[in-house]
Amino acid sequence: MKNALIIEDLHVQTVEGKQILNGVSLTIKKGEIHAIMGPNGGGKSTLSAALMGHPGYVITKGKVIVNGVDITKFSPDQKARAGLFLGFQYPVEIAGVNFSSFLRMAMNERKKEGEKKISPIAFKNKLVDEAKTLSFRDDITKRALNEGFSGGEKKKAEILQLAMLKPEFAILDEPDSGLDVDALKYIANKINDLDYEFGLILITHYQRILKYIKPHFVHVLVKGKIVKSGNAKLAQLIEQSGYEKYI
Amino acid sequence: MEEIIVKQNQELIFPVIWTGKEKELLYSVRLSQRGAKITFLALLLGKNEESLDIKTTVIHDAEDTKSEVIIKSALNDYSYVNFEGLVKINHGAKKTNAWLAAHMLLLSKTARGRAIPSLEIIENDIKAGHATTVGRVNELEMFYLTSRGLSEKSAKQLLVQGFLQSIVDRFPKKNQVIAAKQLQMYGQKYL
Repeated sequence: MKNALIIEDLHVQTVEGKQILNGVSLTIKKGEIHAIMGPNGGGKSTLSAALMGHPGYVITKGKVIVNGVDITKFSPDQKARAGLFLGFQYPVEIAGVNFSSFLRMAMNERKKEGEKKISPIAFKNKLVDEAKTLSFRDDITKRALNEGFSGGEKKKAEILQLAMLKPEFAILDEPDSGLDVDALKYIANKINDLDYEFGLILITHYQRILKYIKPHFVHVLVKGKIVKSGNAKLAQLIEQSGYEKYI
Repeated sequence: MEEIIVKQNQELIFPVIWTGKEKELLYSVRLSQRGAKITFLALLLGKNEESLDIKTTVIHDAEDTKSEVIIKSALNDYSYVNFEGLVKINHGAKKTNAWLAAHMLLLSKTARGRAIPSLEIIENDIKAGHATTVGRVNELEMFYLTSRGLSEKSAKQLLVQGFLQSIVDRFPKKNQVIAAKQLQMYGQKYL
């Protein structure tokens, strides 16, 4: 199917052999927002990591299909070029690597053959503009990749990368954890304001972010399986009564 | 063996770039008079089956002398670097400050690095220290970079560049240009 990310009966283990996901199936069409909620240890982060090809996890069964292409066995860079993006819960700090050069390199390498590369000046202007809307200072172009960023800045920088790279499908792993209300609003507004159609998997522990980003679907992931799916009301129900009845 | 003598209040920056030609590099530095200072910087880029023995000896012979020996190395394929760094602080070299650091990044499973720092200190009133690491490319850093669409090669290039930038930045301007060129060629041709 075009314009969709399809996750089919996904089984995932850690490289040490611990079974985490026991058959997760989801279809995310472009334009849709799917929230995945669940208790700690339910498999939320594993799902996002495994989708992107994290070296610590192995897909033992099932498929991941993007726009009709089976990307299950793709390397992370191939998955990225197929249209997938992962916003990390804990972005990695890389000393000595400039945030801006890295992002420009990534943007250019994602271009299809024959597509024009972005000029350094056009890139810089765009980065500074986008960064402003997330309340970064201009000096973002001089900073190292996540190094010396505060917790909130790291989370905002993930969304900044999303806004620059414009993937067709984004998985955001707890973009709200550790954020104060102001930073949360910046992030939510930025996601809502993105001016193109993409599919979004929003992984979150709390309902708080869903007040700002309205999901079309809410899924509850417990013990490596989706035990309940519904609309936005499901998130409110969970807020009131917790996860206990699904465990 | 190359012998370097640093005299009174002289401040010397001594840059070395190795790209696989030599099998052995030996340096002996003597800080012979008060206020002498050396910054010895070696950027080592190994590939194929190249191997290098690099040995530095720094002798502090006078008061108030300062030495810094910094080795940074990226090693790919089957390449090998053996570094032995010795700092001697002789009697009378009070208020001496000596630092020895070697960091090696292994880019393949078959590359090897070895770093042995040693300090021989006879004087009391001094500061001296050393730090060495030999490590592989961080898997999570690679995952993070490639998850944005960078090929493995580009991601490695960035990480190597990032790892070595701090030493290149300390080179004199003229050598910075040469180092940047070598680094670029190494990244494009051999990673």
